[in-house]
Amino acid sequence: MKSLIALIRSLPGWSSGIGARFAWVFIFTIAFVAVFGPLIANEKPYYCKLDGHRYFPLFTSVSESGLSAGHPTHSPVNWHTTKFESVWRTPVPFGHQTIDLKAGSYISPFASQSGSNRFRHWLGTDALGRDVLAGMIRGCRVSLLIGLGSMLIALLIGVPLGSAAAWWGNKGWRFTILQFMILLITSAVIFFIWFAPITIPTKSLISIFLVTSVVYLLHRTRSDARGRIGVPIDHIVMGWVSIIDGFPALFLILILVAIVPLKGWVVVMLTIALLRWPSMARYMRAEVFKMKESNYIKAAQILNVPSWQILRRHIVPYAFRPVMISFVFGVSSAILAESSLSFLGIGLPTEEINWGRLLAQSRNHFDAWWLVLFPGLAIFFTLLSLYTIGNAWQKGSEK
Amino acid sequence: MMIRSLLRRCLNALALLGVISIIAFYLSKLVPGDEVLDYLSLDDSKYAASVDPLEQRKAYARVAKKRGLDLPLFYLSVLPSSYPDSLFLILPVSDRHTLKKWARSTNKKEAVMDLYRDLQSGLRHACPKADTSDAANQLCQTIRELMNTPDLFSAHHKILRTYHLLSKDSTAPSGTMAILDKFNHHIEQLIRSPQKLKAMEWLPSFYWHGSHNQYHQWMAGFITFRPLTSLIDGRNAWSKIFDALKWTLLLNGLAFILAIILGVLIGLWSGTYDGLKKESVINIILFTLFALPSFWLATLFIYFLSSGEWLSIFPAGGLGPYHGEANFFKKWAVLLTHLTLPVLCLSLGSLAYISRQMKQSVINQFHQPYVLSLRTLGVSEKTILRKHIFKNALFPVITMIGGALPVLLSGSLIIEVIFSIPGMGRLMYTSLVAHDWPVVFPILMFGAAITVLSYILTDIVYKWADPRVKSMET
Repeated sequence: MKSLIALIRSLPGWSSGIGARFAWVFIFTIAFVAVFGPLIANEKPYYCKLDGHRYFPLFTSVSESGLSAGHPTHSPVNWHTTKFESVWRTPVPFGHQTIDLKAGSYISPFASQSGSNRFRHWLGTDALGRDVLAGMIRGCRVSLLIGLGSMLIALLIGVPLGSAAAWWGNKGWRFTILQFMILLITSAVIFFIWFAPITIPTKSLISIFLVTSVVYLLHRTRSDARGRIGVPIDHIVMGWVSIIDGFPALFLILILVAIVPLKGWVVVMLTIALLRWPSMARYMRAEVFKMKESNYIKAAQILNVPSWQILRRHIVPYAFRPVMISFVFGVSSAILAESSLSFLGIGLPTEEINWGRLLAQSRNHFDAWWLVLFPGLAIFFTLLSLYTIGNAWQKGSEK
Repeated sequence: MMIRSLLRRCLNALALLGVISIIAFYLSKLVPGDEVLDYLSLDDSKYAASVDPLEQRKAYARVAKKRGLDLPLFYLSVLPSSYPDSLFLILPVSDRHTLKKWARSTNKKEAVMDLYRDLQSGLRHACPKADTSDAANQLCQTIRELMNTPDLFSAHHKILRTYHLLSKDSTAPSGTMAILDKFNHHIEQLIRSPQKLKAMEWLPSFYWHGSHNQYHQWMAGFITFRPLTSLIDGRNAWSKIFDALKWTLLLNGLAFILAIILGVLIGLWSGTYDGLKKESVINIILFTLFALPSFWLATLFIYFLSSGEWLSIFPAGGLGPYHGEANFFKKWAVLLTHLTLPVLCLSLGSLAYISRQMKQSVINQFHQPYVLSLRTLGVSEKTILRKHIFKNALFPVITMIGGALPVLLSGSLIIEVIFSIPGMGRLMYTSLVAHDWPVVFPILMFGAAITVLSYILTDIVYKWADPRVKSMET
């Protein structure tokens, strides 16, 4: 317990004021709901008893039709209407895809609803008669998954590339002529293998083997300073950064959704990562440039500490905090991007429901203020919390 | 020195644009669907639905030639040696994919081409007679199916089945069985006896096409402003783009000017009075505005101010009947009432951002030693603020504005969709969804050029405003 309190106190920005604390509490609530969403909003009860038999439908694969077959007297079994001997329901007895035909579509939270309060739609229903609260709970999961996932990928690409670009620059990484020839020949061989008449798995295996062996060879015979031919790492990385900046985001998203044969949300996540890593790389590059000039790094260089070790032990850990601050801001912009895309109906499959989708439904039905208000508030407070945390962290690190 | 570095930057920018155009071109070719068929439905709509395969093929070839889609994709093609030599010239594209699969599974390019030629001549032989004879019709159908069967074994199976069917039919025109025999012969040759590859066949073959390729034609047409036809409605793509650009410039320009003027003023004010109570209230409001998603704000605006649920003081969307107004002022009055809400939505977020940057920059300037020395000289606070701090603090904001220039032109899709304004964002979206490349590519290249240009421009302004700034290249 004590260590938990200490952990909470050590959260960035926690001590800076009441605002940041509220922000952390809100983010943790969203994260909790995202993780345990199916246990909070589900049409299946945790536990039910029928004809003396006990079932745990939420944790086992017991279905309505299965129960109907087992208990013909109660057939057809419906989770909501069947009279169970005893039943423990989830707090929200609707799944995000449950269509409540009895209640109907566009039910206001204040409208008189048939049925007991237990089955009331506290936040109303959407165009298809799905519970808005259950949809919002589902939305936590989608938003957080895409926001965190895409930024983690962006971080994993951007930080190594950005720091390599700043550290080695255009002349720092050198190859001897022999190493350069090996590299050239290997690339040529891989090129030819790719067009040889053999199956694709064989090609990939041979290519991976070649690449790993050459990387190992180059690593063993490495010579940072002695080589003749410099690798323009900075030019290469910054070139890619400018290329991605030059593309309109909409073009990349729509094309990638059309051509990448993966699930919709994975493509959206990968695309946001693709669009965000340049800013991470640029940020990291500026940080490392600053640090490169500091005396302790120069001392390490004079002591002949290998570049890898300087980067790993003395640069990346110290750049951690500023990078994490921009990570927090990045997550918020990724969540904003995801909900904007859902609002427009791009990317995610049409049956998926989340904050942006709920908000978009209000455009066909202007009376439905609950579809404007609640999902919008969820997006707004998530963004506000993330900004507050990032801001507090930034202020704390400036002191 | 300055000119040389500028020249190098411009060359770099050109190279960058070239790479972007190549990537965009290839990405567009990866999108599933046949471009020629899209054009076919636009140019010769009666052939697109035609049942006669020969007529359809002729129309296809005609459209492909007219639109330059019969050319190879790029200057250089690299193909495995086992593929037929003229693979990139075979039309329709679906045939090309089938041939590729056949060649890959057998490694016999001559036999594959023989089979394909026989299929084509079979098509010419059988299909004109399809109306008069059942057998010819059957053969014609089979050949069309074969041309879309990538798996050779199932193709063989189909041939045998048709052979079996037609051998009972005594009304079949002469030559039908001979054609099927030929197919059977070729396909059995392909399936049986795997061919030993010669040493040279492991290497890919390179084909140089010169300027006679799709990418070159497209780029040349783009640079020389050749009229491009939109696939959606057949209008000139350039005029579509300029129409949309007009609205986007008006909308985003107004929002931009509003955000900059208000943002700089608020930033200057809150930087000067940093720490006061009323300043912190303004600060919190701006912070909240920054976190407000613009599309939610727009939906709220429409709900509260224009849907009639609460109030109905603003029009809900579109641009209004401004064409009908004769008077210049009345015209603009109509337009501006329609643009008020979208401009507000667009500017509020960036206003908060700009004012925060400006505030930080003003505070930094107050800590500079020159402020102290000016104060000791007895210069009034007002003069210090107006003449010195304002000028110096504006500098980081200018670079930010430079970075935001591309956004000004690319349009903001979501606001344009909500308020139904026919701007660039919506044009790009509808064109992309319909795979209307003649409209998409100019917008894309235009946007990329503006982005690259804004980098150079920001750099120049930066150097001009602060000569101490070292070039990052050194």
